[in-house]
Amino acid sequence: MQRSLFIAATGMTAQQTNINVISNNLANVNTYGYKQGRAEFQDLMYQAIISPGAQTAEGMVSPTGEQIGLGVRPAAVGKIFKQGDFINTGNEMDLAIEGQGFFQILMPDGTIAYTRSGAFKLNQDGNIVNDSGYPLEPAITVPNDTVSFSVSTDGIVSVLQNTQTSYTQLGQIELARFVNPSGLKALGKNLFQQTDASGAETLGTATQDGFGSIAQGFLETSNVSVVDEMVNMIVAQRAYEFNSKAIQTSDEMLQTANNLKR
Amino acid sequence: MYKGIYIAASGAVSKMKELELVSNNIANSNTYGYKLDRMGFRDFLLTELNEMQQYNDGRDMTYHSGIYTDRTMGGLIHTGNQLDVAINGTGYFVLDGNKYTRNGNFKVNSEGFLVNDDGRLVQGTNGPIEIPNGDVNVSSNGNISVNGVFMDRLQIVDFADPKTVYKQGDSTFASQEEAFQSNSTVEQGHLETSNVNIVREMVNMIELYREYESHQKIMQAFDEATSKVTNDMARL
Repeated sequence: MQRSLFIAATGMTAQQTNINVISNNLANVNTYGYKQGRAEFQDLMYQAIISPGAQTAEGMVSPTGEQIGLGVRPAAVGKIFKQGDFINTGNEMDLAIEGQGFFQILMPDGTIAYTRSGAFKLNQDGNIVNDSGYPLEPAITVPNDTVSFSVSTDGIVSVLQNTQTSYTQLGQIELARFVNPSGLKALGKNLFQQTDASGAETLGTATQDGFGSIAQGFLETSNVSVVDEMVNMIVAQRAYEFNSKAIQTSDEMLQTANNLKR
Repeated sequence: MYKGIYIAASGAVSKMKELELVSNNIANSNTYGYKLDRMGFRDFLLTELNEMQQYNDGRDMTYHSGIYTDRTMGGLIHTGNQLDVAINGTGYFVLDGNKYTRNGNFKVNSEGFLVNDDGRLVQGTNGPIEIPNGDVNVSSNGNISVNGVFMDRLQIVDFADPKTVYKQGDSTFASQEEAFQSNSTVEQGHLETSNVNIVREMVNMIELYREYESHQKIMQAFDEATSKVTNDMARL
């Protein structure tokens, strides 16, 4: 059968993947701490009809050979860990990291997940938890007679209690960072999990060694640029269309071949 | 039998091959660093007949003579990603296993080395490039520094004869020839897009399809002529 049918089909499938990634980016354009995904492609293997370097005549070799590419494949959906914009919420429980670090979240199964979304809340026991109710690690418990809650840029959490005149230090938020954040596994719910590709986490203090400083009263918005995504979407849709035209042409050529014998 | 029907058939088969190339170009129109392929045709047997010094009546078949890779530069797009680099000019990044690539969407692997999408190590002038945590800066001559500390220089090589660099799939190229240091500059935060011009490919596709159709008409004409000979000529 004609290879071109299948080659163009790989192109359509690849663009479908591209649109899936773009849709997910657009869907999360307002998700705090969301990191943009990007579909990356590679050309598929080449079928060598004449191998490069094959002998064509006595003492002569084919310089390029004759290779027909078999289409395209999605190579990766990379996450781009560019800093998102900050918005000032004024909410004292909202924290944003300006830098490379991640907040650590204790999952129900006892493992640690990582997040850039700093929309924290307090649960009924006074523990600092994320939107899903999973506690921050190391755990910080806020007493219930607290009148003022403060987080310094280096992550020290201190509170002013009802009967007191000075702030009491409750603990310090520890940040984690990775050599290759793009290798983190996205768990959904704004959470990431460490993998072999991301490397082991390095723990550290905010403001030091590039972990980033913590800003209280701010949230990091998604780093998705709607304009870029719309442009990508147009490009992907057109590429999809062009591939479908290649399939149509292959089909018409086969039809022509069928009509040869009348 | 008539030679003509085979001449037309050889043309049609070549056009089918060319469509495969065009399809591959279109499929890779969004692949970073992809270089488009084109097909060249030559008349078949003519040179061989000339060499044998035999009588040649000029009725030759066609045959695709080779596939050329068009190595013009693709457009650069700004991604803002620190680990995306594009070569401005000729040349290739060097990956381990003597592979070369123009696709600069690099990552850092779990050991902290710069790799491509498949996890192949990107080579600097001193071997694999280690990227510690921090702000990565790539200067235009390929020097990589992290948090202001110089790490290594990206190896960018060129070849005397670009034709000898052939595609290996997965956005990589290989060559048997000796490479030398290229003078091309590097753009950080950019990627080189595919150099496929989709309009050109569509025009090619229309053109080759119509040519294919003409070949079919010629074959049919020969068929009709044969039919006349076999069925009508003897009818008195």
